[in-house]
Amino acid sequence: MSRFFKYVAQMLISILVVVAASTVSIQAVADELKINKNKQCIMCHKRNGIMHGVHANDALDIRCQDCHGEKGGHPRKASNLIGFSHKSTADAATQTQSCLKCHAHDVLALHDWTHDAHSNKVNCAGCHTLHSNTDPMVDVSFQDRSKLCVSCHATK
Amino acid sequence: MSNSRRLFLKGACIAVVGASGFTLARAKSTSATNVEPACKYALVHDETKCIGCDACSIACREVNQVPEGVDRLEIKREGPFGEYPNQQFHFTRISCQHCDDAPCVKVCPTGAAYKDPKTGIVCVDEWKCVGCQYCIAACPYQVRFINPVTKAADKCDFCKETRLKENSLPACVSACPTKALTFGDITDPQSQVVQVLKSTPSYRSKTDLGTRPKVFRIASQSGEIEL
Repeated sequence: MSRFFKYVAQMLISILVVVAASTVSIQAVADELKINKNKQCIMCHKRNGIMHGVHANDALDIRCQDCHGEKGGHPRKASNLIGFSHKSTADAATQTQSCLKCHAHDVLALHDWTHDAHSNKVNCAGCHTLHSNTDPMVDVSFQDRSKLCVSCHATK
Repeated sequence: MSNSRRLFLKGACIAVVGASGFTLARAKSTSATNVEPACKYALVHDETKCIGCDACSIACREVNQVPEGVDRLEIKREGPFGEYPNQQFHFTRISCQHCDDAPCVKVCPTGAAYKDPKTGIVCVDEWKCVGCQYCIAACPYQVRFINPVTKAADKCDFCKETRLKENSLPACVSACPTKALTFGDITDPQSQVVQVLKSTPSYRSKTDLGTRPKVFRIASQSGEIEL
């Protein structure tokens, strides 16, 4: 019995180590990326600003300001920074405009017809997530996709 | 010996008379149920409210155990119409129209395709279907298919065997987030279906064929041609 317990404990510890190492390494990789060395932003936004995933790729050479706009007087004074969420003070058209700088609307239409239907009326972040490692929309199931539609369109 | 033969003949005669009398009586009683006032279920698809989310077809597949690869209900998308960023799409419901004068019922050689006298729903008796596919050829709306599991002809039956038995609305109707579908009895002037049909202009598909379909559609905005 004790031998069995030892075995299980060893297994658990090794799994924990592997998981911890991978998370640490993901974090380390993210920290090494050019976009996350942007001191101006990351100094304060270490928690919510770190960029993972495709958009963080060094080859793309994207800066935070490319999407969010110039810092201006932020955080103490007025600025034209854009936040990407339904809570943002920027309206949907302004938010989508920022994404459309790179993503042509006719190319987006080829991927999914809903891009055309929502155009500049719904913000991209309404469905997509950009800071995370993977965008949940990339491999969304048919059922979940439908649920996402329903989450906004439901009438009482 | 002769006595027993006479007895047998008598018995046989009585049995024949009794059996025929019983069948006649049963036939009369069933024809009596045919006469009793029936309701007629109909469906309205408001294409102006439809957003093409496919919640209806997903619910249909789940509730009626429709196998992958075939559909009882499909939403056809057309578009985009208009110029970016003001574009729109049209959605059409592809499913059984529950014709009052159904061609599939007429061509079925075994009586597997039938119109339910109580509800007016066009249904399929799985065990009677021999898979000849006459109904598939005859259906002007092309909504019938052979179910790969049961090997019988299959199609939408307004959830007659599933949801209607539980006294609830068809799966598609209750799944629709925008309330684009209205289901009910068109012989009842108080029903919601009748109210919707009276208050809004609607159309039906291929009415010129005289099939008298019971799926009504409220047309969305006109396409790219503007007058």
